[in-house]
Amino acid sequence: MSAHHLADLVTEAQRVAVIGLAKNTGKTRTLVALLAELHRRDRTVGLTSVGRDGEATDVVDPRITKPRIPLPPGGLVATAEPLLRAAGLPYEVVSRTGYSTPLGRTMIARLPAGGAVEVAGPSSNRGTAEVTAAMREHGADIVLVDGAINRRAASSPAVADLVLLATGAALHTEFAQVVEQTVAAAEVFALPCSGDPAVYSAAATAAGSVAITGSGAVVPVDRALTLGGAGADLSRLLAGPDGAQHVVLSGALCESFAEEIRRAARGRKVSLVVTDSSKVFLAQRTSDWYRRQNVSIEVQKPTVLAAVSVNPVAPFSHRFDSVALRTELSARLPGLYFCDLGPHVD
Amino acid sequence: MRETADLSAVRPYGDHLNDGLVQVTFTLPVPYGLAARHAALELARTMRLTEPEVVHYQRLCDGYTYFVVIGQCRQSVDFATLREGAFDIQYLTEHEIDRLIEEQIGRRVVVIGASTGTDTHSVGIDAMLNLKGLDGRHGLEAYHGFEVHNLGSQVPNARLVERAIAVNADAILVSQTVTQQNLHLHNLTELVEIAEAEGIRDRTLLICGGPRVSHELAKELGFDAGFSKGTYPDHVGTYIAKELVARRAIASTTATAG
Repeated sequence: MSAHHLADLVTEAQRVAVIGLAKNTGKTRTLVALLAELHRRDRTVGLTSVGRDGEATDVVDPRITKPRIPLPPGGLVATAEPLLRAAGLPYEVVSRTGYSTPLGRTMIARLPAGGAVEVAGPSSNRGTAEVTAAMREHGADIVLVDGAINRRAASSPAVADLVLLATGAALHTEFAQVVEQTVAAAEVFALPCSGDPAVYSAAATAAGSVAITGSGAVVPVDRALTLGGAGADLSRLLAGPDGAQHVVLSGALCESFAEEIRRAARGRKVSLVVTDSSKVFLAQRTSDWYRRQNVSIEVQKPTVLAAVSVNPVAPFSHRFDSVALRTELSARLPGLYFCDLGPHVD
Repeated sequence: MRETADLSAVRPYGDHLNDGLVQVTFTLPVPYGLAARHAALELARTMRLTEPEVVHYQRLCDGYTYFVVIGQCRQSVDFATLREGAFDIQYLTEHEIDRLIEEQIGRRVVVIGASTGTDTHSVGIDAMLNLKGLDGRHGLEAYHGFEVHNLGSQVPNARLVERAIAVNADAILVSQTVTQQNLHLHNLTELVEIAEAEGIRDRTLLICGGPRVSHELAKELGFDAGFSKGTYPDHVGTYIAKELVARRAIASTTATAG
């Protein structure tokens, strides 16, 4: 029944991204369950992948067999031309895109009879947004954007209205670590929007990243500082009574920058504002930890995380109790829907 | 007249077209003798080789025997569909690559490379980029058509992207020894994600290389190309030059159409 409920959650959305926290966390299974349920509801589906999905065996560990992706009849797909031809299914070419991938140039096609396809659409957000819009134009009620490995770029509101997250035992051999890493990732998706109008007006006019000081002055922040890594001297930016209160980033928020800001702020409250949660790259500390240190990470546009699918099995390694895992995650992340789309094989 | 092969069903060539003859060599941990020979033939049958024959076998040391077996492989591959992948490119020589860049791009192509994250292996990236190159074939640094920046090893992804933007790179090359550990994969995906976050994903070719990198893996990771064993600098150089030229052609068609 969980696939049914999953479809309830996404059915009104036009663009849904399915994002995994690592390989083998059940992204493909989530996609397959959703496709079947949407087909039952007579929704015409479009499908693209920023990576590659629907292949028979895993690309890193060939012992792992993967679920195939049956596209319902009348569905649209954006994929590399050679993969579509190799599927041996009847298809109509909708358009050819300018996006090339290591597996060939991508095209959009309609499959009148449906069938199992390998999906490898454009890798970039711009390409994904372009093929998504094209599939919508050609009759797709809803477009599913498949992520790859642990890539989160496609969760950006520029690409997707709604995000489904896949997590599971493959993240770590310890139950507690799987919970912690999933909680940390969900917290990033749920980062609050900045409440300061000055942030939005600075972001709209600035060419790059800027700092907004206590008196409202807008100071450019060089990319060598935001991406420069540990040891970047940020004390000048934050020092004095008129130090920066907000840093509005035009691109990535890397952990080393967040850490240098925290150090230089010496406990004073600073907010780091990114365009959306897909620009946040934290691995050592969580966004929650930074907030407790008075460094709040905020977004300009929110991401809507609709549900989390949990795969309790790590192939050829270990497994956890599915109910226990979902119960623990629900307790830590109240209000979020968790499901297990098993059966899982190991 | 020479017989032509059916490219939709290609078979190994031994003595004549489509005979499917293959030769396999292997060692079994069994003592040299007739029983060992029998075991090798059984194994060849489980490999689906028909009419297998042991053409040579010898004692390696106590308890180990080495075999050379030939047999017929009845399976075939459909080369006609495979060859249409993106990488069916005709490799150019150093001189040809330089000329293509000069005539079609009209400026030097900027390439930046590094071994990223915790990876200390810079052999691969050095072979592709540095003057000395590999096996008597120059690295891209020696070409007139390329401006090369090699940042070395253990470079953080954010720093590589920052330098790439600063030098206005056309292509970013990274090398990584990929294992089944997620760590290596995540380091490669992080580069792609930071490039996307910084807004340079569509105007920069992202290329990864390493002993276990395939086109399929490169696609999953989000790279434009993946290179593995047997790659020479001129292969990478050909790909970069041809892909940049192809993208310019597509961009100008779109501009005209719009």
